[in-house]
Amino acid sequence: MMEILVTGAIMGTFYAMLALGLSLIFGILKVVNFAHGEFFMIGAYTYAILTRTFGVTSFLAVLPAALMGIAAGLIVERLLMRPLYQRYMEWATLRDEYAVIVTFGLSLFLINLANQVFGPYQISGAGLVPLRERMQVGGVTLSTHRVLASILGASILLAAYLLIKYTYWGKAVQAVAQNRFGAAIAGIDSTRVSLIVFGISGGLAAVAGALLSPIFPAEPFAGAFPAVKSFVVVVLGGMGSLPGSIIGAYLLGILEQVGAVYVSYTYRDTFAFLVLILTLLLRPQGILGERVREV
Amino acid sequence: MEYLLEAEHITAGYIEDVDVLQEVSVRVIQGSITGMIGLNGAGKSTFVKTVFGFLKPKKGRILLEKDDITGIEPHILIRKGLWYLPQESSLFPHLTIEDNLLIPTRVIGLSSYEIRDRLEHVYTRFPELKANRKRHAGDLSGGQQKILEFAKVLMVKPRLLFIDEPTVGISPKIAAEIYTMIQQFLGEGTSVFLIDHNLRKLVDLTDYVYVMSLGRIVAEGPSSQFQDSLKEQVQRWLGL
Repeated sequence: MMEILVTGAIMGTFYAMLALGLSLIFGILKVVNFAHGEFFMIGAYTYAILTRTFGVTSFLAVLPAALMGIAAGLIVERLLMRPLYQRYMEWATLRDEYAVIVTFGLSLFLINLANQVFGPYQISGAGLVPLRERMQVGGVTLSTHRVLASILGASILLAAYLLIKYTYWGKAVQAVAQNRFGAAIAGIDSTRVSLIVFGISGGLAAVAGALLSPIFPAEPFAGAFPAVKSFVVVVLGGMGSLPGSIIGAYLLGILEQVGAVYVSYTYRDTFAFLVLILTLLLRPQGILGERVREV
Repeated sequence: MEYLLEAEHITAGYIEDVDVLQEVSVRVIQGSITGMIGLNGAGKSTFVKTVFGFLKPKKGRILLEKDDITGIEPHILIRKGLWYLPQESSLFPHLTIEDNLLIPTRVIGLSSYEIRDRLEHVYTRFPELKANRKRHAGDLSGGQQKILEFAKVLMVKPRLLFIDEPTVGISPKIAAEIYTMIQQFLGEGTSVFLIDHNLRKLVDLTDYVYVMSLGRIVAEGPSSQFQDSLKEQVQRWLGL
């Protein structure tokens, strides 16, 4: 059981990194970013190419991967999302379909761009330590890379969470998410807040992609499954709830592991959908979400 | 006469062919309380939202001490000394009362000494806010939330404060407290632009009144001239 918990928690960390960004974007713009998985893919490619082709040290390669993700987030916000909310009144009348179409289109564009540039081949990133290395955690033997990657991921996640919870700009992000109109007349520049959120979101997803690339190699569709999982996590945790996303991520990671061990490893990825269906049926607002829907 | 704000011939609307405001001209004198009355849908709130840059006027301009602020975004206007208390809540329900008070101070660039000083002043004046400062703003009652919104004004001390229907849905006791505060703001260097359905109170409080109907200013004048026969005059202006 200990092994299931630890392995599940490790995957949960990466789901949380993806889901936190997705939840932040949903919180401030009330739109789902369907291109979120492609931030993950960008991080995976950057890290894999730097470590494999250019021989950059693994730990150092995480930073450019994060920067590429941040840059991608900033560009997407500036070019594609900003027309959505430039003025509050226009924002009030805007239709969600725009965001769905734009982010879905962007996802397809980036997948096909990766396919054109790198081909349909898999590129595995180098491990933070040689992938064969093993270590003992709570009496369980685990891949040292996975343990180090999840510690690094969890540290970055914690830093991002504390930043949002306690700094001025973090509180500004929360303020915009809670009352966009109120934030504008409290002097908060919601454009800058959106930019920050997309930057954080892109960076977190890219780091997750980088750290997982030795296990799940970079390829054009690398972000598809992690993105779907993060959508499940956000629904499970409660749309827009940051603590909910983190709890939901660890819960999904562990549930998947339980299912893989006790039911079937082959159907491991289907457990996420089962969780999604059950959540929507039994607790549609998620673990920490509010039972409110604007009409 | 020194005008703090001058809105000249403002024409604005939410959609292309419908002008909610038509040639609206309003002036606010420094150190005064200016009022605006009108039926629901007359365009009063739209006027304030246009001043605050939420709507870009199709025609006309808005000057703040001769500085053209037409269409400038709200977060920049706050730094120029404008503040807006809308009819709907402007609070952040899942942030603490203290965070709600502190967020705007960062925007207008107060020193930590000034922030501490003003926060102490607010807490002395509203001990219930101090007692609950770590609670979420959304946990407060409707009346207490309104008080918190007004306490934010004491934190930022704006030059010009727009207040839209401050007493709708709150108890008479808190409403009385709010009207007292509005008068006190004036003494602290804040000019006020007030929209209120309580005509008698508005005329009593203000120095000058604008009457708006169907997006136009249909009457204006010093409040003193409306003191007598207020009801009859308002009915005539609004065509009732």
